Amino acid sequence: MLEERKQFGPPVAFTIRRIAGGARLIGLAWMMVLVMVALARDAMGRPGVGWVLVGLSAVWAVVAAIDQVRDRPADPWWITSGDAGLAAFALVAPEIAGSSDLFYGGFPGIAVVAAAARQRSVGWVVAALLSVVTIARFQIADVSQALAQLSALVTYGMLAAIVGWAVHVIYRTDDARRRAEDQQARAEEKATLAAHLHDSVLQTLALVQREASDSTRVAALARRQEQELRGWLYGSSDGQAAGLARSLELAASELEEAYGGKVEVVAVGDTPVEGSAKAILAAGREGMLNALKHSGTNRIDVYLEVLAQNIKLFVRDRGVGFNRVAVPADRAGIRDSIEGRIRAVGGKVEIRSPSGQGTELRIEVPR
Amino acid sequence: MIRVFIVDDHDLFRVGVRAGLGPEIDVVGEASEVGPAVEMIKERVPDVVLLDVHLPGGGGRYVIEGVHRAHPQVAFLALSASDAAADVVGLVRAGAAGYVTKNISPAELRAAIERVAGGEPVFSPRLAGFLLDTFSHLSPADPELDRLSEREREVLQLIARGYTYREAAAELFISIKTIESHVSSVFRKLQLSNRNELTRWAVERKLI
Repeated sequence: MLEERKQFGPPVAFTIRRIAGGARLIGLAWMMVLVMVALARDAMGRPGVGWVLVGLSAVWAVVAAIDQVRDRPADPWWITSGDAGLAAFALVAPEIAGSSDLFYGGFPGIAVVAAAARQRSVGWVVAALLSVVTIARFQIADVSQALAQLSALVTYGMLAAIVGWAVHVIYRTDDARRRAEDQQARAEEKATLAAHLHDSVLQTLALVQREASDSTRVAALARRQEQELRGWLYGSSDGQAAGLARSLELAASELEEAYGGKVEVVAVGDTPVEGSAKAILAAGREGMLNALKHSGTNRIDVYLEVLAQNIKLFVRDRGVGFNRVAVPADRAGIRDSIEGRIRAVGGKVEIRSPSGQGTELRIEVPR
Repeated sequence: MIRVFIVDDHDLFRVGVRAGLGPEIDVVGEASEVGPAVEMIKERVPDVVLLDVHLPGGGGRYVIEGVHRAHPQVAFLALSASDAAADVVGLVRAGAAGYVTKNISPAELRAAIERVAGGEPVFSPRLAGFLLDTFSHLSPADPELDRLSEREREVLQLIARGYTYREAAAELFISIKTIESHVSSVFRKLQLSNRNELTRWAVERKLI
């Protein structure tokens, strides 16, 4: 199984590692050029050693570059060890090759930088290691190279100190900044939460206290608040528009609050409120309103089903039933708000009201 | 007299349920956590366990799993304030015989307990909706899966629309017994259906 697991670390760590990786490649290229120049000048008694160093450098450049692509906050141990090993070999290579040129260039210094970028103490360890190698070579070497080697020694120490300190400071600053941002984000979240609770729950509680004597009203308030809070906690966040199912639930709880009663909305599937979904939402709201106002019961069942081709909505009550002929002609509720809307989007409406069994409004629209 | 055991972590809710059950139902015990609940239910073997979906020490399904094998005759009725489909469907899959929401009236709860004690599943419109949703998300390509028959779908839809068994039977011109057998068969299919499919369904909707 192909699983690329990102390791965790502050963003700045990834940046520092990328910079160190870039420096490593430059150091390797620099060293390879110097070795080639020495080979071209025939400055080596044993040119084989120079070729080995070039080969190792090339391989290491590829390996390190490949590892660089994997998003890690820090070099793994084997990269640091490889850097140090190759740098140590490069330091003694001129001696082994019998070369008058010191062809390692900046790579040992860059190995120190990469190690120090990883961690301050690791930088010191690599600097110390390379210094030991340099000193070991120093005693055997040609005196004419002594100055260059002495300055190299100082350079490793300085690089370890400066880079280690700089990275340490960068981490500390970054950490402090992120902690401050975290705190601010948390404070803002808390303020949003408090504001929301104040606008919704506390308001409702105040209303409940004021209207404590009216039990239907209190129940409706509590139910509406419950649905609202549930939607806020588990539903879509304020940024996204609510889907058809959620919009229907909201319409139902509004009506519950306005007229009393209980509207149970069951939804299977969902769709954004656009086109025919908009029409079915409006018609469904009208249907619930009619049922609450005229059926004589306060319990309504609403079922929404969103299928691949169409959307179906059922609004059912067990009230007095509905007689179309008995509805005055000037009452436009059913004709315009329900049938008109649904016909306009190519859907159909059926109202069933067998005597004594309440009424069921059935709406179907194409998607 | 039906013997009932209540598992819920809200003390006040347990008190309220106990008070609402009335004299014809015998509450033989209460528990608020999974471990003690399993112990006590095994010891007292009630007819019906009222089970909260969310419990400390794991969900309600662990209670069912802990008891079901040793005492398959104990019926579980899930009670929940949560409307998360995966939670509820998970309990039904584990073996709960029904699901009602916590805002149910005491009379409705008594009726539900009696149904479950009589070996009948209890269906609310909401549960029917959850089940239709669940089955509609099972992959049609999987041959191992028991899908709903057209008739079972129709029955579930009618229940989701608020029809009683009697009304659904009249609507489909079949007997109440046939409706009941369709409902039981839906439960059985759900309890046997492929666990991976359901897990994937829940993962896709970020429910687990």
